[in-house]
Amino acid sequence: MTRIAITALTFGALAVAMALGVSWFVVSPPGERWEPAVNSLALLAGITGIFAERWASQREQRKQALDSIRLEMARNRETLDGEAFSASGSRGRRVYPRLVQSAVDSALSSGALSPHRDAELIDLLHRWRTAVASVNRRLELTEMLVFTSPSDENAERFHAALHSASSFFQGVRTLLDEAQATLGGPPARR
Amino acid sequence: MTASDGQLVGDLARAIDESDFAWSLVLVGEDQRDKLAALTSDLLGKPSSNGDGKQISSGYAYWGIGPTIAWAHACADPFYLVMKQSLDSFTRRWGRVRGRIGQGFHHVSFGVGTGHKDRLILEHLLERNPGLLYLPVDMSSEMLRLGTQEATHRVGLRGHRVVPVQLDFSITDNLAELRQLVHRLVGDEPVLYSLLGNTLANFDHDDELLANLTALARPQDLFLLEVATTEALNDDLARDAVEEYARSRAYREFVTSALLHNTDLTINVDAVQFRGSVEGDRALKVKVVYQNQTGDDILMMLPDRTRVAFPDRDTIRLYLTRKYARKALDPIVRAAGMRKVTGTHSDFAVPRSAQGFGMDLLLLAPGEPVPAPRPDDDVARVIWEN
Repeated sequence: MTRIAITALTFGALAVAMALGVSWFVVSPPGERWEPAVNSLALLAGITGIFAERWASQREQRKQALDSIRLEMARNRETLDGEAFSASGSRGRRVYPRLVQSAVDSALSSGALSPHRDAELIDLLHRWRTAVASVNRRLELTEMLVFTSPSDENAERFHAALHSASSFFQGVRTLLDEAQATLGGPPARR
Repeated sequence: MTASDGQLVGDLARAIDESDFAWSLVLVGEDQRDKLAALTSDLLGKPSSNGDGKQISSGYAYWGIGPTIAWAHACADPFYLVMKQSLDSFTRRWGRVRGRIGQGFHHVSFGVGTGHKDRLILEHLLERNPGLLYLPVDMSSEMLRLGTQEATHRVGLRGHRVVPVQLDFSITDNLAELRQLVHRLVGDEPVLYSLLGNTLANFDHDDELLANLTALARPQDLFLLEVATTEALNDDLARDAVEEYARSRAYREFVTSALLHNTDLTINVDAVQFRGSVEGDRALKVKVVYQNQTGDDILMMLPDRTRVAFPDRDTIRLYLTRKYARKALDPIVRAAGMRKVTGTHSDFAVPRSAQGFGMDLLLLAPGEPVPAPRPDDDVARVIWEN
């Protein structure tokens, strides 16, 4: 409530000052109009400057968030293309690397993305976040069951299920393809 | 048996154990003249251009010192992929399976091979049974000697605990005798039987052979089976399988060595042909034949001076091998009255091998198979399917 009152007071005072400046310019004799003109323009620059600074800040925040997400997606791509998730890789017991989602979480929670302009991207990132959480949970279950089973056959069965055509994992790869196509390539490292 | 007989056996065991000379005590189960007669009979088949007439059946390919040496050379040839990969990956595959074998096992090895695999098995079994008895069984005494020496080298197995048995294990009556011998020697103690190196694939009636061999196993026994496998069956893969064998010159020399050893033919290794086919829904089959390409009818002489006509374009089947479809393994095991305790698979990890070729090592036990898991029971599928 206080924030709204202060905002209303600030913009009200600026608007009144602007109106007085314009009136002063109108009623002043022709030779004495320099001072009200300068005063009115300074007030106008003050009002528009507030919005310009806000927009620039939001744009920078959005750019940083998208760069972080692109880097995170590239890192996830490396993980999925690595030996651990290769169909021809080792079929024995192993601890799998996990997919990461911290940049996506941060972007979604900070409001760096615009709900109007980035509506489709936000929807995609929500789906990606759910998929990553699900795949990591499934990997945990897989490791637990494989390591507690005395039979190596179990590890082979999980390997086959993980790489089957109908595996949840294939859907995750497709979603990552879609996300990377939407976001474009990762930013160059400086 | 009298006390003096017992004393004699004890003295013999000590003489073998304490001597630096590499004595081996071999039990010979068959009259070798009968084997020669069988070989002669196999080579008297009618003319055929596709290997269905004259043949050298499985055990005879290794019979005699010539074929034994040729085979040892072929095993060392990096182009003989099945054997190379089988030997290279066996340590890893055996490591995954051996945990399911308990204490106190003896070992009966059918087709001892180079002995490298048996050595790994013996090292493991001996740790759990210092009184282990090792019975390598083979039709070829030369193969027994070669394989047994490698298998027992620096393993710490005393000489009199090694009992090589020269016997054609593809003959059912021989197996009945072997069964009695083994059970008399080990009593109720468990036995690990093994048939490794894709030996099963060399027999015409492989399913019957497996059923006969596994019938030796009692409830306390286990059976270790190694076979070459393929993920799929089609004519292209049959051609790939043929290519795999055909590229090894040492392998060609091995398959012709039985002819060289037992006939007076002048061998041309380029006359060795490989014919691939799909055998129903169970295997890719490769027939290795020797064809008379001289343009003339030939008379070949066998060791007993029998003269056999070998007309132009006629063939002699030298060797038979298969790559079993992985999906067909369970039905094959079930048909033999066994159930799978555990199994491991290893792909051929070389670029020149066709996709999907590999080796499977199965540990089997007698008895009803465990029913295949229902979809609801397949936890892996439930977790990973969408």
